[in-house]
Amino acid sequence: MTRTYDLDKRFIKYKGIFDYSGVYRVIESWLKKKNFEFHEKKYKEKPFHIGPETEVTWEGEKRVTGTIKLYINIFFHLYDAVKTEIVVNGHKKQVINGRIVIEIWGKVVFDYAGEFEQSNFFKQIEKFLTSLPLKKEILFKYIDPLDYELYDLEVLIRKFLEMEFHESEYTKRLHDYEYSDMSFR
Amino acid sequence: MAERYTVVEQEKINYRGLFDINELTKNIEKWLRTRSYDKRILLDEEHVYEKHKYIHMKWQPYKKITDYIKFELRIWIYITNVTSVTKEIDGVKKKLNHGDMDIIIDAFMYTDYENRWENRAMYFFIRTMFDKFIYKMETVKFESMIRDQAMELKAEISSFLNLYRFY
Repeated sequence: MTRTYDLDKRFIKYKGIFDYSGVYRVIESWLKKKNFEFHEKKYKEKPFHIGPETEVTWEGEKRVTGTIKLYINIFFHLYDAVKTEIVVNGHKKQVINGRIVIEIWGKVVFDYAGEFEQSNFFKQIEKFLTSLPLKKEILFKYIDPLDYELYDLEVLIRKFLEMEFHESEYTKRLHDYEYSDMSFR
Repeated sequence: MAERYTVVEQEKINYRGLFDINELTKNIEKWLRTRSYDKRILLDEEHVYEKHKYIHMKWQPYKKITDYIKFELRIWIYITNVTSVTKEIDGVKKKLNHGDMDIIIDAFMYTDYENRWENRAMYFFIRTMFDKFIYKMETVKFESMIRDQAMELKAEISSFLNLYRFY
């Protein structure tokens, strides 16, 4: 049976001037850098009297082992968008003045190929593995690091949008704290 | 359904003046991390207007204490009329923010958050008996624990913001 571990959703809402294509590029390059296969699951555009309303859903997937896959999902919702031109370092640049909502969430999937679905016996083995011997390994090796990756992506988007709150303590690993607070002398 | 106890309700911090949003949020996050809370962002909103900004953040960090008890804090941050100000501190120019800030902190305690003790009437009965009579002292102990933590967070934020009064 395919077992899914969902991670918390993160929301970013922004209203103002921003580079929409830049946000696209930043997320795409981040996913590629982290070796995620990237798919555009949905692209929806509706004409609207102020500006087009756009909804985009992306999915990044990474095969970690033969049984475990990591997924990162990103949903954009752009509305009240009006194209404007600004001058940056003497060069004209087309940007968007509007509202954007970005939702980021992730999941860890165990037995993504459904290998343990062959029979009842295998289903019981899978249940045993995920509840006892592999429980902590899945939690510490896959769920926690993916959670930190999501914080990293969230901070990157915030920085790109030049939001006031654009740094996070959660992007640091826990051992950073342990060693920073520890005195060896 | 899990039972929710409201332990701290609407503890408010109001502040007007200079601050650094990044440092403030980092400080809160550091406090949460050192106390093993998982951060959950419900909303992180920023509106940019011609002369000022509006920032609204809703965080709901949580911590699973045992298989039965879970702590949850609710931190709502509203900052209006945010403007950027450059100040010289010890000869170094630093970018700070100026605005009106309201922070609201609530704290909750959940029991049986995985709904394990509600599948059957007998389980529910046992759970209620344990909660109300046998385990009561423990429940009170955990309640005071989260109350202390919420008040500690409030004091941390207040003292952090108080530092900016001297700039």
